[in-house]
Amino acid sequence: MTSTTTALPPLRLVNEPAQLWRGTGADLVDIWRHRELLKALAGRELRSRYKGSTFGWAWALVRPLVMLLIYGLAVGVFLGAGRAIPQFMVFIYAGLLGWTLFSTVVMGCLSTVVSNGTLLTRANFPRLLLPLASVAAAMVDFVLQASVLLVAYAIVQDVPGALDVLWVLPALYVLMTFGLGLGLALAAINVYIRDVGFLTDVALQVGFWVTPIIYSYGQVVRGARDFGVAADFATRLYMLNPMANVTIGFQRALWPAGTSDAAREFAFPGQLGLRLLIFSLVGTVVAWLGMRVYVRLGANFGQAL
Amino acid sequence: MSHVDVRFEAVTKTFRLGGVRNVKEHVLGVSGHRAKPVRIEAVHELSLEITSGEAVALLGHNGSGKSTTLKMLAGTVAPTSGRIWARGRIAPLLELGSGFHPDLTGRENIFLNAAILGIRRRETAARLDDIVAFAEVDTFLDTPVKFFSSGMSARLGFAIAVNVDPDILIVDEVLAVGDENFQEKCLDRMQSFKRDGRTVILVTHSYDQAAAFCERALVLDHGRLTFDGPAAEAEPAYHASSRATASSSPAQRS
Repeated sequence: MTSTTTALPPLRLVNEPAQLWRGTGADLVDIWRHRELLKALAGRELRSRYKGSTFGWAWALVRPLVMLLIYGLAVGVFLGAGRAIPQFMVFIYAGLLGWTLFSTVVMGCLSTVVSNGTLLTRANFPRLLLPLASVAAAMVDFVLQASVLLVAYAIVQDVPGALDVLWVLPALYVLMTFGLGLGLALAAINVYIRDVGFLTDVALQVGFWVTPIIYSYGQVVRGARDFGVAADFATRLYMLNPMANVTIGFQRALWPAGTSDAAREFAFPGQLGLRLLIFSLVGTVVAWLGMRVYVRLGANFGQAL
Repeated sequence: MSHVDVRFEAVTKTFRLGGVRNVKEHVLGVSGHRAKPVRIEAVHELSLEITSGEAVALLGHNGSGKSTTLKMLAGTVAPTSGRIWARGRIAPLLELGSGFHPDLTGRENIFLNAAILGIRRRETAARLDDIVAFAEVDTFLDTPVKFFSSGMSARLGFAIAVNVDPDILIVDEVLAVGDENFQEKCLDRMQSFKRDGRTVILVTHSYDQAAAFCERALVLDHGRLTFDGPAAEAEPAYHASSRATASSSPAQRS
């Protein structure tokens, strides 16, 4: 044992009261200092998830692939949407990829706080690390799921342009900021009001259908024409959903047929770059707010869990 | 050369029992259908100082506020009012083994638990042998912790806590779990901690254990400090506090 003769560590305040508006910088520094723990927690999340299952990692692919098959068959073939949208399966998968990540991030934040209750009551470490670790684990799944696209490109014998793929970056940023901001705030409130978890589950179901994943933006515009004079307003309202913009960004990046002029005309709204920029700014604020709410309410997790 | 390691300044913690829990009750609560929640004062205006190298026993019956006091010191529960100061690394051993992930192996849990206590991976690797030897779990190191007996989990938890070089060691009811052999080893290690000038806080129901190991004892009764002095003289206060509650509410738990 070594430490006693070295310089005395200072007497410091245990559990400094968390404030809503201040302390962001200190929290970020704290996370950076605990980056090894963040890695360990993310590793635990990944290792424990598929432990004891024979197919292990393959399960990360099963959910999106099954959804792809169901929607590809039901919507693409039976409802005939596949005739209107070229490379329909790739189109759906690009959207599913983003949506799966978004819902995993949001639900991951919620479940990690509840399932790690004992850890939170027992040890004092930055509370933000748990949801961040679950987000990191979700990112690993995302990369795994994205690799399926390579197979898809081989099948349709088409690849997106190298520059087009870059659209993923702003779309991912918007997805992450909104997902993390909402996930953190909801996770913290869920500790005190357990209905929030169920509500979030339902809201995500609704969210899936008001996001152009298994239909295209062009079909939304056409559908909105039924509203007559309010058509333009209805489309605008629809596009207030950040995930609608994110999904379109994903399709723009990862769906090779999207680069053809014809497809571009009916699949994407104008000024996609500007839209994603605005949502990036709003998302940054949402992420910050979610983090503050989480930190503020997190000070008492030890007693509420 | 000693210095203050722990300082409580008029720390109070109140819990709300039967508080508003879900949306339905929120609505009903607002409309006045629900009785006002009961406020429980778990710890009342607690002020104390603990100096380095001290071994302090925290005595009290169930529900006296011991666990709350320790959780506040460990930083997992925020005090309602008052301030708590501490120096250096605190290794909390609250509810042993509960921080382990059942599906991960002993080895994986060692690294994770040490990381939570603030130890870098490389340092943990260097101490792995010590931890494993102390806990006597070498043959089970790569077995998921869910297959460990409760004694093994407790030993592993204790072994990690004493091997992360803590300045303040909190030992909560640990000695009740291990067998005699292991208890002896724990006490030995805690002795050497004292000699190193570290602070040990021992929570126990056993007055004899407290008196044997600690010079100083604190007795908590209904969240109030009723005794603070030499452990050898704490017995009357401790028994007075136990009796008082035993007659009023025997089934109360902390």
